[in-house]
Amino acid sequence: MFIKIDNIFSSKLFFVLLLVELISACESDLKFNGEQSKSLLVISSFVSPEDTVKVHVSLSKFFLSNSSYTDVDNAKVDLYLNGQYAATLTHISEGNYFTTTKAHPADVVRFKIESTKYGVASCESNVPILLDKSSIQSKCDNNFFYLSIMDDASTENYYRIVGKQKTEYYTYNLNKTKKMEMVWNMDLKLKNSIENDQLTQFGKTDSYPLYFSDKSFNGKMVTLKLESIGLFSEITYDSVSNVKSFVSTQDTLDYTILDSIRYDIDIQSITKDYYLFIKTSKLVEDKLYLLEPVQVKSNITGGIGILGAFSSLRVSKTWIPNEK
Amino acid sequence: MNRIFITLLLVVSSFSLMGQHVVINGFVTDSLNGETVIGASVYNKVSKQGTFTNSYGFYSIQVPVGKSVVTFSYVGYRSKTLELHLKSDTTINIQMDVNTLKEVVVQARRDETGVQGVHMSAVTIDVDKIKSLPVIMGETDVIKTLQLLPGVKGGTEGSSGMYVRGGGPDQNLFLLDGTPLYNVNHMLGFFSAFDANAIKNVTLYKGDFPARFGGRLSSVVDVYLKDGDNSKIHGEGSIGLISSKLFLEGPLFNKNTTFAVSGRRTYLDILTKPLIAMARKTEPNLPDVGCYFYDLSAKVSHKFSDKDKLFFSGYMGDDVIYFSMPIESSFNSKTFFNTNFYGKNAVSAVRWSHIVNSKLFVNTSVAYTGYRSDVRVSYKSETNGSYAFMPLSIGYDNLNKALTMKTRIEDWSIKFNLDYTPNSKNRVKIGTNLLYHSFVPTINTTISLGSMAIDTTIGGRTIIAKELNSYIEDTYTFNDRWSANGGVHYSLFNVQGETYHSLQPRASIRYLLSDNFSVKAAYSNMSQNIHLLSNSRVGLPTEIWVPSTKRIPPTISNQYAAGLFYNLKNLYDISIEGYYKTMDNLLEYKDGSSYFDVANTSWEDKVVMGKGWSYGAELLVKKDIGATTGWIGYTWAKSERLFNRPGQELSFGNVFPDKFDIRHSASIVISHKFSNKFDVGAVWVYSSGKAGTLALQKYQIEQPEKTSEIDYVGMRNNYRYPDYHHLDLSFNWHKKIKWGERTFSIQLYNVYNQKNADFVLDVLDDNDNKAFKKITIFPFIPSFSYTIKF
Repeated sequence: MFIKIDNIFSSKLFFVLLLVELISACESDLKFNGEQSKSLLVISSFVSPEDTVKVHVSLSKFFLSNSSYTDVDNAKVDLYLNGQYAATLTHISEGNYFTTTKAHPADVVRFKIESTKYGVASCESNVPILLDKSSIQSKCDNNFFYLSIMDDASTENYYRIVGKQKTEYYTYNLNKTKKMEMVWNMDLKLKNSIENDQLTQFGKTDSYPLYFSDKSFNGKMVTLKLESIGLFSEITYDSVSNVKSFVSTQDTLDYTILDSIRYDIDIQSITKDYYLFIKTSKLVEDKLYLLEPVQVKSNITGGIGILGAFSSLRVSKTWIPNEK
Repeated sequence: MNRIFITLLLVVSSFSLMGQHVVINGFVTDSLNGETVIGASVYNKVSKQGTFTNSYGFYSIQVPVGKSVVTFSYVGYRSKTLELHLKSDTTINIQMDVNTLKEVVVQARRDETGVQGVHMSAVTIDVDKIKSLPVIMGETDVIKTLQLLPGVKGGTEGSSGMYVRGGGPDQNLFLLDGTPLYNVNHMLGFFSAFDANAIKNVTLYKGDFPARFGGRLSSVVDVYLKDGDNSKIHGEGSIGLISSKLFLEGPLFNKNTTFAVSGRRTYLDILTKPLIAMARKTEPNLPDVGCYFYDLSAKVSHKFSDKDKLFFSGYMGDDVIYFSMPIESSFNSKTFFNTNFYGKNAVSAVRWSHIVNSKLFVNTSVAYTGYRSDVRVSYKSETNGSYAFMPLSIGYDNLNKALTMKTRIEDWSIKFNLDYTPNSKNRVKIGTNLLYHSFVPTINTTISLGSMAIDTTIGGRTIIAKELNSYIEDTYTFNDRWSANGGVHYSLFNVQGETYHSLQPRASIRYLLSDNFSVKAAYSNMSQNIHLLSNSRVGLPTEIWVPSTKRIPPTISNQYAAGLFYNLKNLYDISIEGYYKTMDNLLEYKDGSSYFDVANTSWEDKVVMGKGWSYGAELLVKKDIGATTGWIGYTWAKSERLFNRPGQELSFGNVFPDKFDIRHSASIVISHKFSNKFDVGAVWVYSSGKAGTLALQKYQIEQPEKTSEIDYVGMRNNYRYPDYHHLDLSFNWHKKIKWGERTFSIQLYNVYNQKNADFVLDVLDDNDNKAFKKITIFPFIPSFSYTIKF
């Protein structure tokens, strides 16, 4: 069995286990003698001007509980924009609430969630201003996408980058010519003197998109070099009937010609709360036990969870082979 | 500085011109081996004034011309009283005889810190007492004995951590013959670095710090090594369950030069090796794990004359821990995952003590102290029985690396101290200390061992700091009832172009309500320029010493203490003390940070600063005389932290309890001597639960790309561990043999097998149900040792 260096080495009891091997420590059941805290209202919502407003409402559970999570389906969820009542969200299913109302950049979004059984929770967030297109420069080649962002010095900025690399091939076999499209998630390959919250020496994680603050380059231009992380997010063909797994398709290919590589990069301006939520929840996910305890960022009053907000700017570029 | 110094000398000298007095001075030594006696009481019954021997056994007392009746006393020795008729200054060296009845084995310095003394919150532990108490695996431990005193808490069970009056483990100054020792732990903190055989005297100060001490907020553990017997060579050897040790002392060449050498080594690694090899025959994937430590302390003293002595003292210790686990095997090779830890500790000092005149004692020293630890993680391939380091590649990206982590601290220092007794009312101490620190907080080297080797070194920047400490203190006797000690400690710390100054006042006062009942109060302001970054607080090798820097100012504290001291029938010393302590600029790792976080951030980016406070009451009842001796201690205490500076919030910026915020703790320590052939020791300790952090709720967040399960931690240290207690017993049989004495000891740790919770965790049981578990490190553990004194 392979075990990651960092996980072994930082395992909570690693060093103690060294002694345990030697001096007969033992594990036994312990009755939890603390207060069995009540379930809390959990709110999750990520508001963007590009999308309709959605909120998910559920309950937390006691850490020793074996039951599944409970969605709250009978809550009243009110949306306020810039201090004014805007809409009451409609319950769809499984704790999801929705309204067609959209927020705009610089709006102050506020939710009030009332549940007769679980009380009242509220949260508020500013929707970040959309990045100015002139502050973005980009270029690409067959391997990398180079993204330069000119940071606004007058504000504290937080960014999240979501990238897709779409590679199109023409495949030829005996029967017919097909067009195959493979989409890859993007990740940061190299950094340019930015505070990089995601990379560690022990390998990148692909569980979160790239996120960072402007702490180390405030007011300056930063250039990121992005490449695909080697995991398909999807594969499609020109004909639905021909959708197969990549591996099985590969067996039948005679040859393949690269047609183009298209990069779709979403540069999101995110709120500080959203940034801290991503950062802290990732630490919890990593479960490096020798770390100090992590408290995941929450901005919910009367409950827990996160109201994140972001404005997204898409930059697209296509690279076409010269020889084509 | 010199001008101030001379002025102060002149001021205090002027007192000596008042009245007709002469001075008696000299050394107090043990009549059998010539060891100087530290803290012995020297009391003139005629003038009703007294003093104490200093750390070198030297005393100086001014008495009226004419008749004086001077008594020299120290617990464990027969008192000596001299009737003197003095007309001029006189040197009297006193040799004290050991009380052969051995009725008294433990003593807080009754005169100096008990009812009559001006100081409080300090205790001296007799080394014989330390040796007689039951301990884990028979390894006598100075720090574990100190943990039994009120106001002192140990960390994880069995560890040598010390948490004094709500302070952290880095807030204790451990002095070995006056030189700081940075790492006082062996084997992950389960054993302390001090070998009791080599020690002459241990004094713990947990408040009311005399001005001569500085650099830490919460305690000073002042340890002095034996000088060595000046009459004959003898020693002590012992074999225990996990270690053996040898101590030798005696004259070197002649009576004026003595030595004392002590060494020990554990052999758990040797004992377990065949067992692991045997077990691996049936379970080949079992890890090979082991650890050992050895240490060596030595002291050589040379007496040039009655006025001049030279001392060399040194200590070195090494720790090795290894862990090797097979992770892959093929028909002719095996690949192992290895972790190795090396820790090195070294202290050496040269001291010269000189009696300038009957009133002035000078001590000068040059010292070095250093600590380094290396952690190496790597892979090793074993092919047909031969070993070769090899890179792991083959597609496992996270395994394709080797890692070394190093940390280091080194100090060079020059120290100059003087004790001056200008008259019968004043005892003055003045000194200065210059330190040169060199820190390498972390060097993390990651080597990619794949097709293209990349060596990445992070950190490794040496930080140089210069420190100057100066102090002056005076113990002044107003009259029979009132006495006070006051002083000031000045600290200058220069690092990265930044200079921190600190003027730390200290004061204590005593009022005698009657001869056996007094009330005292004290105030101490302390400053600390170096800090220990620690994740788990159990003395792991992941702890690193770091200095204050441009961004990290020194930690400071203020401690107020008051107490009542009562002596009952000259048998029981009873004291009750209350204290309130504030601490500012405390350092903690940020949420989620650790030593192992080797992203490209410096350690300064991993820490946050805040403040803390603690308060409590301590009761100590101790009996030093008779066949049955010991003490009962009880502490009620509270310790909290607040980290709410913008961007540096912990626990959402709210007040949270310290991990070792233990409300109630008690200890009963008893030794009973049935005869010269047999004695018994018993220790029972109890404390209410320490604090720990648990995510008591879990929840799900629907994110744009995925659903996450998140642990909810409402507050740091939000869970109380179960109460902690255990009873330990020791039985010691002594027998005179032809060339000395042998002692056979049986020690029973945790007699009633209390399964204390050292760690708690939630796991999935066999049925995939959540279960709450505790891990007990030390269940019932019997051990033995066999000691021969020769």
